[in-house]
Amino acid sequence: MGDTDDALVLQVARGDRLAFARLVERHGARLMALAVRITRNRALAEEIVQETFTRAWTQAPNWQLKGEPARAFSGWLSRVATNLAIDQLRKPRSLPIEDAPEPVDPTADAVDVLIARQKLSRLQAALATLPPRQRAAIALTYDQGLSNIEGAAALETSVGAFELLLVRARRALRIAMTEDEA
Amino acid sequence: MREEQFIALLDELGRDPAAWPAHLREDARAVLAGSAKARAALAAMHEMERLLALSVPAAALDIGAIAANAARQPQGQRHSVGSVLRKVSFGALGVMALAAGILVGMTPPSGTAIVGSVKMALNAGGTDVW
Repeated sequence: MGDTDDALVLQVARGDRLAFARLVERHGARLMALAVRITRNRALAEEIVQETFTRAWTQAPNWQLKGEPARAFSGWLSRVATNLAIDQLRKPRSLPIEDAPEPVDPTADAVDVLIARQKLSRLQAALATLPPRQRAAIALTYDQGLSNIEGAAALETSVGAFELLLVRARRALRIAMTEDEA
Repeated sequence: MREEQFIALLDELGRDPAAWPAHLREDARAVLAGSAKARAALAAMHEMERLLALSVPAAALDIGAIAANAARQPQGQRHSVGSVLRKVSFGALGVMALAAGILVGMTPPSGTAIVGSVKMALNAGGTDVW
């Protein structure tokens, strides 16, 4: 168990900075992906990831007191990052929107690449129109691979409410893809 | 099952009708066989998921800086199990003292109560209980 999240969290609770760096290394990229998907802004996403890990560090000694199993650490990180991202989007400020990198298939010919870019652009536009919580539901399910139960916990909502967010988001994105075909 | 129902289930249950509940699968296959609209919806769902997988945001992250920045903050006050128990004990003692005070205030002195009961018994029975 020496290198598990459980063990590292216990070490972090005792002020172990190396163990903390291991946790940041382990979870940083996926939290960044989550925050970028929800906010669509890398600078803001970096702030969110930083704040999430700052809270992880400062609150680590209290983990056991609250009776939270260390194995829930990953879910806790997702929950904090998701809620910080959604909270940030509620604040009135103009954010530059950045699209995700375009997929590049070296075997595809120019027409295929063009079509793929158009489809991706359509998907990105559809994602941008989703309410933040629906976008978060998509990110938690498809990017993070969470179950509906885990996704609901990350969004601090019921499983039923999470599934509803997911259904609505899927419908909107599917329709965008269908229009692409038309 | 109508094609609208199939499409609603697609949004609800996901892109793999073979993984839907058993009682829906046969109907789903039938709708897919007979409806171009249902097939288009299924294809769009597949495409949506493929593109989502392709476009997972990836960004270089300065792990060292993030860890160092976070670790500059003081960690939350550590509470030993003993200190928590002491807090609980003091709280519990306070509640117990309050409850005892109320009880004492509401209960007649026990000696009086016993004497009264004996007198009532004597009066009622008229016999020597001793």
